[in-house]
Amino acid sequence: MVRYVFMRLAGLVPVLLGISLVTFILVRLVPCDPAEVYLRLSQIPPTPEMVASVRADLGLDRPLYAQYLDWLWKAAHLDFGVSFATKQPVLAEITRCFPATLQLTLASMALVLLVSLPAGILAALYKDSIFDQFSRLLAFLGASVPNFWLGFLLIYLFSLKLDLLPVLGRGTPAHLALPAATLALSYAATYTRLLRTSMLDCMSADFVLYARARGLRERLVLGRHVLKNALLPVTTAFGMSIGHMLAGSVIVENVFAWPGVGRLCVYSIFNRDYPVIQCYALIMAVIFVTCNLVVDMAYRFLDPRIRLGGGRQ
Amino acid sequence: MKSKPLLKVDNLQVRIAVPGGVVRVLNGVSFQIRAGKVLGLLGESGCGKTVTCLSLAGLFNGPGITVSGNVELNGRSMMDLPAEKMRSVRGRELAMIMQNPMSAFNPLVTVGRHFTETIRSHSPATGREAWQTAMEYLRRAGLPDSGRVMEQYPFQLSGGMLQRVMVAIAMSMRPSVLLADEPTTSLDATLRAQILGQIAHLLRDFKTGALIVSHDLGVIARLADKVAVMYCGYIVEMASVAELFDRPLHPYTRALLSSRAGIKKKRLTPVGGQPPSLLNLGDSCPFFERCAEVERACLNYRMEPEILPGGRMVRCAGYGASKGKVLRGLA
Amino acid sequence: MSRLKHASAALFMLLALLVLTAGCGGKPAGDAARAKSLTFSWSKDIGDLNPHLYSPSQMFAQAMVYEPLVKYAEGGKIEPCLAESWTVSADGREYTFKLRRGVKFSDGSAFDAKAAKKNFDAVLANAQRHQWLDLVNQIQDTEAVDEYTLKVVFKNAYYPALQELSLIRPLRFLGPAGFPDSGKTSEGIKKPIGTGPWVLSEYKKGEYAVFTRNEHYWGAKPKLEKVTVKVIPDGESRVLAFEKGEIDLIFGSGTISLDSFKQLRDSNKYGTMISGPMSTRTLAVNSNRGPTRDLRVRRALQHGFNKQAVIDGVFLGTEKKADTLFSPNFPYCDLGLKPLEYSVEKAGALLDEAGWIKPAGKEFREKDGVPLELELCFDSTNNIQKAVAEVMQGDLKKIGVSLKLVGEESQSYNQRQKDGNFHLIFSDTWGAPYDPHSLVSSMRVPSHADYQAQSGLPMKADIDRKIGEVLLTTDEKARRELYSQILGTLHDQAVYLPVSYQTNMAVYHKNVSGVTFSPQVNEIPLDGIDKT
Repeated sequence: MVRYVFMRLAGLVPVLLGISLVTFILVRLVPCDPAEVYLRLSQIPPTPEMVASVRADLGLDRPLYAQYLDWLWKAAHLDFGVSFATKQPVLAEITRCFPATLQLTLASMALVLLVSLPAGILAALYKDSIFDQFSRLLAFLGASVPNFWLGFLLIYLFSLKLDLLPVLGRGTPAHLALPAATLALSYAATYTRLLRTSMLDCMSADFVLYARARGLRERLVLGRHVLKNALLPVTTAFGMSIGHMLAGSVIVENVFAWPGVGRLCVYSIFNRDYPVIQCYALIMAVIFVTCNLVVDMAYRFLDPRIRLGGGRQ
Repeated sequence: MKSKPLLKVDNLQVRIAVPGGVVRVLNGVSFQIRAGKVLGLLGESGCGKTVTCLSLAGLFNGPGITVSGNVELNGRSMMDLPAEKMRSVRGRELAMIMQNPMSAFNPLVTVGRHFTETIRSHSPATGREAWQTAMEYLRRAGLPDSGRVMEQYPFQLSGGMLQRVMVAIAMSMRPSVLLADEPTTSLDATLRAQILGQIAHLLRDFKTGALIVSHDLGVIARLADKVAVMYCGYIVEMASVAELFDRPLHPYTRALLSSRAGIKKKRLTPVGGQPPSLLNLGDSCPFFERCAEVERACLNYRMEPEILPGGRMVRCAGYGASKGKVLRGLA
Repeated sequence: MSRLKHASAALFMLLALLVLTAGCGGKPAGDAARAKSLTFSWSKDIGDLNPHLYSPSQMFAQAMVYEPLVKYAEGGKIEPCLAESWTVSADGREYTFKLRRGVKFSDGSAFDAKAAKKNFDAVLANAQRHQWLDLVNQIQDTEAVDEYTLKVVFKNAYYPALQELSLIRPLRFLGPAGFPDSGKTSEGIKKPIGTGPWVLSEYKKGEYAVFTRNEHYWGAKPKLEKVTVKVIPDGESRVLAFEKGEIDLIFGSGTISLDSFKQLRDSNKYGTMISGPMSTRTLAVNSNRGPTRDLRVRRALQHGFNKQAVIDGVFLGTEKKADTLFSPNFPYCDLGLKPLEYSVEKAGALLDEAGWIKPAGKEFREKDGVPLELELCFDSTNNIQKAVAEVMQGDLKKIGVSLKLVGEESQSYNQRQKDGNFHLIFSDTWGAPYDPHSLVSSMRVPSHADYQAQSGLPMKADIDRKIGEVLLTTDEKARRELYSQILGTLHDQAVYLPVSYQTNMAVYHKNVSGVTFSPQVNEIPLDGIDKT
């Protein structure tokens, strides 16, 4: 097991190298010079002399390979340079913003689980009932309603009209409620339906019939036999969503003025802030690969067929 | 003197309401099973054998399904029993063995857990006690290395071993009646003989009554004392094993057993033609179209059972009014 | 089953832990009830508050903490600030400032000529970064004549010197204790120590900043004791936060959508205010490319565009129609230039004269078989530009001109301004105190849309020469004459299509009073605001 994890993590290295190179190139292919952008942000007219001097400051006047190798060498020592826009160390900027995004994502995940588990189970058990139809409607809405619109709607309803929660910002758990709910809704919708389908599949399986034939209590049949098997595909899908959620919180962060890393990333892209973009891409790569790994390991943990290799006696 | 029947089935009817009408799955199935006696249920696929098993266990239900008739187990009526009581009967007084052992077990749960959960669902045994009981029954079912088997996951065992486990689980409850649906169908010949032997052994030891459902003549011959032949949800003939193989009365039975070389034949010869659809099935004889021995009387025949001396039963117009046929068969 | 149970229990605990640490997010300490405190919002973080540098520091925040030698007041008047009085030498090259006595930095240290010179030196040491500001290029030397006298010597007589000294950056004053050990503020500062009415007391990057009143301020102390600036990037969220009461004031141009402003105004629940003209929203018309090379075509565009409809429909009456490049209330801009008024007939006649005729049965005019097609480039993230562009497209269609709208992401759009890759492009003026002299100065620089638009004019070289002169001449009358010529020529040549005069807007809760507008567009006049 340890060896397996080690091998997978070792596989991270070529992935990161590849991503860093691709990001480096792609970001420089986008039109507009970061030097000019910086000048415009400062409301300084970008004359050729000014631009040249800023370019020299930012190190953009060196040949491309020199820039890349220099960046790579520093990155290997965890020095990701300094942001073009704020002149602060990149890693410090990202780690400053990251906890907020992480908190938002975890809260959303918790909400997703809290909603979709019971809803999916009940929808399967009471198939075609009012509850099932209602959950189907909610799933449809959740998947099609745009994030920002939902966010504003929730603010209007819960904050302005009912005066239950604050509008935006970060501070108390009350501040976390609406952004987490907005981010969670579309995922909750999907997972409710996924769990429902998974459970219905399991409920018509042979081993469930046999379990009932043996006279097991219904609760035991549902819990140990149906749910346990039904949760397997849902768990792995959920694990993959984590990376997705971390990257996709941008809109929610914008609407709720949540000081997270998604917002930072979008600003960096608009501001052509190469060092921040490059570091962010690397970090997201690490997160995705790790999520992948965790999901695989969870699968091994949960499914004995994979863990024990299916050997016959 | 015959002992009281453990299982008494009287005019069991199962109907399914569908948009097109009513599907008549079981039509007046009646039989009795006594202690230590085995009844074989023989027939083609789709004739209602499995449904019989499932409805006896109260597992055949759903929207549009109506089960009527009378089923008595150990003198108690099983119809309209509350769900919880039914559950406690299932697995304990009435145990089942399923057709496909490979898919009957939950792949994520160990064999041992399957066993102990069954034991603990029907008795206040502790985990350890249940474990011990399970190991003992596995040994009796022909799995000496029971400790290791208990810790395996289903995919790690072969079909034969899993079948033995199912037998062990069923018998560990000391059921009054065992329902076995195609018990060795998915296994190969050598294994089959072994397991059938084991089942026969255990049934005798515990004096359990059994209903063995199969389309395999060999299985029926090996295990059953009496045989009921099913066709389109009707029992068309019931007789002892010897009598049935020696002198089949119903044209369908005769056709089934026709070109066999003795009792060793493994598979039933498919009879020419198809069984009629069970949707909106009428009251007349369903074998009419495929029968080689139709007569005028068949047109008015409404599937009344004909009880013959020696406890034989047959549902055929040819043995009703015209006694001539009967005598012909027995002469 | 126990395996799964343990795993899920662990996961649950982890989640619970992380959700509970939500309380560890920052929240501004203190309560509005205790201190007289105002909260408003900004779309970006205030930055590191280095008075001598630019982005990411936000100008309004720099203006709260740091002060200039002289202030820019209404109509372009220069007023004393940290300098009480000044004299200019006869040749216009030497400015001698008498500094205000008794002024202290917020850490208690004294503001004197030595401290002032230290600041000038730090700025000049980084002159390359400030090249864009001619003031810095023109400074030759500074001298602390005595404790409270500062002399600044210029290379040439530079008339906008005082206007440019009033700018928010880079020439405002940092207390000596705030300098880094090397003395080079280009590397950063230790602490934002200024002489201004506000002091930064609490700062959570990306979330909020709190300013408290400077109790040792030399001038009129602000009525408010505390100002909190929350970072709210989204305009709609800002409106919602305002309605809920989480912010007291919305201030600035473009911070909320015009629809939202109208809705807030019409609700009659809040106070609203619109300022006078701050800068001009205008289009630059390229005299060096395509059909707009022809003066008649350019003038036809002016006649063919119904500006009043835009004022009413797009700006909902919050801005005034602009007929000249600079609003007449700016210095040297009251020139009585005749507007090219909306007249479809005149437009049609001019186009006919230029040879662009509408063939029968076709929508657009043609010349030598080529249809009259122009490209209008705008910033796709700017809703106002988009709305104006769409109206113009409709108007020009009526006179037979096909206007293609090219909306691009901000930086690409800026690139077009630089390259001259447009027929028409949005290009607003800079507002006080830059208008008119800084903008006019920049017309000589090729990397500006103005230069690109004017580059096809036969008298461009002459215009540039006159611009060079007007910035250096010391004769007031000559200056007036030169501006009249420059701006008159540009007006007649129709290289600018002014649309409206941009205004600032403010929305505030009824318990807030004293809201005004500063002549400097980037300043927020918090000093006069009071809250009950």
